[in-house]
Amino acid sequence: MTGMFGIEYRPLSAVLLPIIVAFLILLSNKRPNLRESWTLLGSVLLFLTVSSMSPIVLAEGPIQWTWFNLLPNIDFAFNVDAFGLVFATTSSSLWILVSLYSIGYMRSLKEHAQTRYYFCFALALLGAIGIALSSNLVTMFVFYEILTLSTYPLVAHEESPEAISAGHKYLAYLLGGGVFFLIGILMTYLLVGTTDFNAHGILSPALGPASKLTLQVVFFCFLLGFAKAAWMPVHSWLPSAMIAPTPVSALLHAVAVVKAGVFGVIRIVCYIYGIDLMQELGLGLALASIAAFTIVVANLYAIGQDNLKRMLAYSTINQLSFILIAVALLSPMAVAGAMLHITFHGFMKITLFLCAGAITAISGKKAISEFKGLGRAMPITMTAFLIGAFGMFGAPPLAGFISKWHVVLGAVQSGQLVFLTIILIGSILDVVYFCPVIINTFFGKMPETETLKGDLEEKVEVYSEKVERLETKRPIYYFMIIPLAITAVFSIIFCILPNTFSIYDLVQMAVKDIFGGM
Amino acid sequence: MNPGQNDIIILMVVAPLFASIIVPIVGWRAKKLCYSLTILAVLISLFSSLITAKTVMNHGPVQYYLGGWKPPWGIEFYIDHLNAFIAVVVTFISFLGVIFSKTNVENDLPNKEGAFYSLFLLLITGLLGIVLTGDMFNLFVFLEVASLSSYALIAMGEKGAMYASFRYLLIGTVGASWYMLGVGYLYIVTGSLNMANLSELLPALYQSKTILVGFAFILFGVGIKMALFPLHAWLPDAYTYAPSAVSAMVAPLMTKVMIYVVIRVIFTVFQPEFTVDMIQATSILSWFGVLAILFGGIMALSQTDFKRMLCYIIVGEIGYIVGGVGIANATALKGAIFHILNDALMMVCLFFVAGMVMYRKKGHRISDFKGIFREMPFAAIIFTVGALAVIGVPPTGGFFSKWYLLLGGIEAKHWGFVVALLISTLINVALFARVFDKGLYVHGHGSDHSSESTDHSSGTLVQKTPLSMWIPAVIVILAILLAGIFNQAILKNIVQFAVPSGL
Amino acid sequence: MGDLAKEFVTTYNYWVYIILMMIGLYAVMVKNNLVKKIIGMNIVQTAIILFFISIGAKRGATIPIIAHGHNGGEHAVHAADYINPLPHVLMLTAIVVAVATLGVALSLAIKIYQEYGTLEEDDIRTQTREE
Repeated sequence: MTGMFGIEYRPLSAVLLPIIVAFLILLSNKRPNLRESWTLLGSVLLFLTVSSMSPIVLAEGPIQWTWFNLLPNIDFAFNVDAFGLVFATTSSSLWILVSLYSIGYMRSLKEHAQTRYYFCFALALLGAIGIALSSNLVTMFVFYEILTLSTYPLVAHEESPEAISAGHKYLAYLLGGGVFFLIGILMTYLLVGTTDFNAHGILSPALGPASKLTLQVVFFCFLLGFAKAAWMPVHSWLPSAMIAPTPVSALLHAVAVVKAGVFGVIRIVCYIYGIDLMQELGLGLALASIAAFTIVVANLYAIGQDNLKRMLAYSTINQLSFILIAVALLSPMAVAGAMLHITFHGFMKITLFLCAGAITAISGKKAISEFKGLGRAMPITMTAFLIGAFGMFGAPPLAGFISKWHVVLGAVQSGQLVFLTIILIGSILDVVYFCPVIINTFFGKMPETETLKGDLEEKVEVYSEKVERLETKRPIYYFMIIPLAITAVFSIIFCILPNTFSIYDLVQMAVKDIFGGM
Repeated sequence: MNPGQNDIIILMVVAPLFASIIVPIVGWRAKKLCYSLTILAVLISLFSSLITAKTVMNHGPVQYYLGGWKPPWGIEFYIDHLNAFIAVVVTFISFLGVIFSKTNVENDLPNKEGAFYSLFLLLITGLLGIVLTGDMFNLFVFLEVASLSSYALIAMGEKGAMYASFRYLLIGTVGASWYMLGVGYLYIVTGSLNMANLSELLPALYQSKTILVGFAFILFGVGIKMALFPLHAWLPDAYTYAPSAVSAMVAPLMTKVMIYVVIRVIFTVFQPEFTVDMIQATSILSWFGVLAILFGGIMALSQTDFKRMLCYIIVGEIGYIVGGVGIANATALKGAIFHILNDALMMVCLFFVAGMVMYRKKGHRISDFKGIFREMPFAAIIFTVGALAVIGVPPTGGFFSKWYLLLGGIEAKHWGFVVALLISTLINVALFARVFDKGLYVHGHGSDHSSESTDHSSGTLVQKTPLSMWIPAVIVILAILLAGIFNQAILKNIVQFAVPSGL
Repeated sequence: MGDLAKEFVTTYNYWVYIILMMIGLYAVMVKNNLVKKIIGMNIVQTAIILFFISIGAKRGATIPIIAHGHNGGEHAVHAADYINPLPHVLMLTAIVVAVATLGVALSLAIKIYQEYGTLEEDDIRTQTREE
């Protein structure tokens, strides 16, 4: 990747790649194979570009690249710092796997409008990468809106009245939030005349000219703006959005979109307000309380769900608030845990979603109560699911363990024992709602004969010694099984080698910038 | 400044004026020539406006004395940064409008080429005259030139256009008469009609009631012409039934030019100390702006016709600009002036889409937009960009003017305006989501998974939308994006100086 | 009362134009027949033309023609002796505009009559609503 693009142009090329891919996809809409190879090629190139930046950032500090002047004191500029790279690496690496998976999923379900699907997907990635790399709030806002708008057709993909109304809900929450985000940006700009991210915060000079109350209100504007983080009570778009095709739910509603929300909150807390100001304004406590409330309530919702994807949605809400609570503790270890959890939760949750999608696409089942005996019919899928579920809970040797460990240490570090308790209760509840799935799949008995809806209408003899291996029935299914196996394996690798893709080093570096040390 | 540059100014108005006389004569024999002659004339206008703008940017304001008579006796064209900017907007949009008109005229108005283009050119002449002139009464004359030609152009439209145009004519004439009346009052006490001269003479007379009456009449007259809520009633009908090419040009320009007149009157002819501080006309205006924004948005939501929806969006957009003018601080005014450009661009863009859909589907109801993303992907892309600009999504220009308007609103602590802007943003989302859904989702009920075949029905149909329609549309969406990306260049070089001193 | 009457008498030109304009506006707004509306519109314009003409007038002044030419040199020109010609000139233009407007309005009325078969606004509205 050297040679053609110098170091300083890499942020730009990372942003341009998805755009180019998107238009290549549009142009080749009549040739599915070509179209999907563009997606795959683009995702691989994007990942290479993004990950090629991490050694440089680790060695020499942030890569800055200014494109043009947007507004006085505000440039359209990228600033690739360690934290941004964590998010960018996560999104881009998972895009490769989800692209593979999409091919399998979309083709086996014979979905309509696949060109639109891949086009919007590439644009959504553009939004996510842009958010990760942008150097100020306005640039971030640009990509934030791109992300919202490009995912709307994906949510409404099914085009049923239900899907369209879910899409409208999605737009209403996220663009409505965008309006508050804009107010926050405007106020920040009026108060301090800049919106650049800085590891020590930029708003502290404003305290004095502006009252505490103003800054607190502005913070809540930002928080409402990041409705993508799905904290309660602005969460309800996420379960509705589960009507989207599963790869969309997997990459966007477990990683790109929702993590963009959480990423934004961390940017606001650490890079706009700064740790000291957050403490002075008492906002850490407020954020932590919101997040704690969300964790408990989302867990309770999740327990009652029979639809697997909706259950996963509530699990996502819960885990997102786990990240928020970790940030709100404002201690180095907890913030490190939060940043790590962005990546680790991404890998684990995507595994779960991919499994859910594979189950639906291959066996035609959506409700947890129908899953009896699937453990035998789809062993790889269900093993991966098991790994993901235990990762949510935070059991070693899975990635979730590392991030949760950091957060727990952070809670002790900051002496917030109440929130420590809530974190632990949350983790225990995680087990509770995953139990029915695991019990049903591995210990339940599939009824004697059953019509399986995938693509083939035929009677399948099940629950005898030779259970039919549904997963390997058609070659196209491999496109689904392999990615989910890979993410499951990564969920384990991240625990043993947390520094895969230099994630751990990057997080350490980011935390060092913010706090001056772990 | 050398005299050559001065002559360029008058060329801007004279080129379309002469062409409007030649075109019908030529049209007698060679209909084809009308179109190219019109384009040529407007192109000359466009170039001269660009050169004038360049001169103004480099050397400051320029003048041209008609017939060599110097003011205060003669009529002068006085061009500073503000009207140089507006003149470029007018000529640019007209240029695109003329290119776009080709198919529309050929199909819907056969054998009327001569008349149509003659009126079209007169309209452009009138609009440019309003923008350039430095004389209050001359402005009235140009205003009537523009209005009369627009009445006639609108009347050429589909069924219902006649009556709409007639109503517009009655209301418009009353508005123009009031403007003239207001000018008369100013003339009684000052004895002058020249804007620069008036602004020197008036401050001594600010206590006079005559001045106040004159000011009020001018504002009401212009308010009718620019369809400021609650004086907007004529607009939706007139622009809905007009031919596509006409509404694509009149709708963005007429109202914007009238807003220019308001800015001129409030901040140049009268000084801010009178309009802002003494009688607080601006603060009243800003609240009318707020009402216009909310009313326009709500009415737009209840429309089933795309063009009519756009008309109500225009009512709302006028509210944006008037509100920005009413807030009367430098930031908001910068936003308002910049929004004149952006709004003109995005409205022309959306009316182009309406024209394309009208051309293909013979209707402009929202239901006619069903499936346009497949059948007319180009139109769909253009629609999307235009819609994003109206909503104010960066990096389109709409975002940046909204940014300045909001910033100005917060600075002035005019919360009503700020809230109205934000609400209208959300309303716009809802408006366009409706059209977008119609255009994009054709499968319905999720049952019709008719696989890949539906994916590829585009392609050959793209060519069916004629070149003369989509070339201007593509230029417009590029302009919308460039206006956003290079907003600083535009603001720093020209708009910034267009903001009247004393704010 | 005396003051008011005096004011009314001394500024009667304004009152005339105001009354005329109101009559015109009334016709434009209230009359059902399109031609009557056009007449109303024309009355409004005429009222304003009258207003302009009246402000050019001066008591005891004459028409602004200097009989002895440029080089006569016999009289110094006293502006106060002549009425102000500029409003008249302006009104020439305004009259032209008014006539043009009238022309467009009447031709529209003719077209409307051809389209709807009536000039009554009520009927036109019912017809448009029925569609």
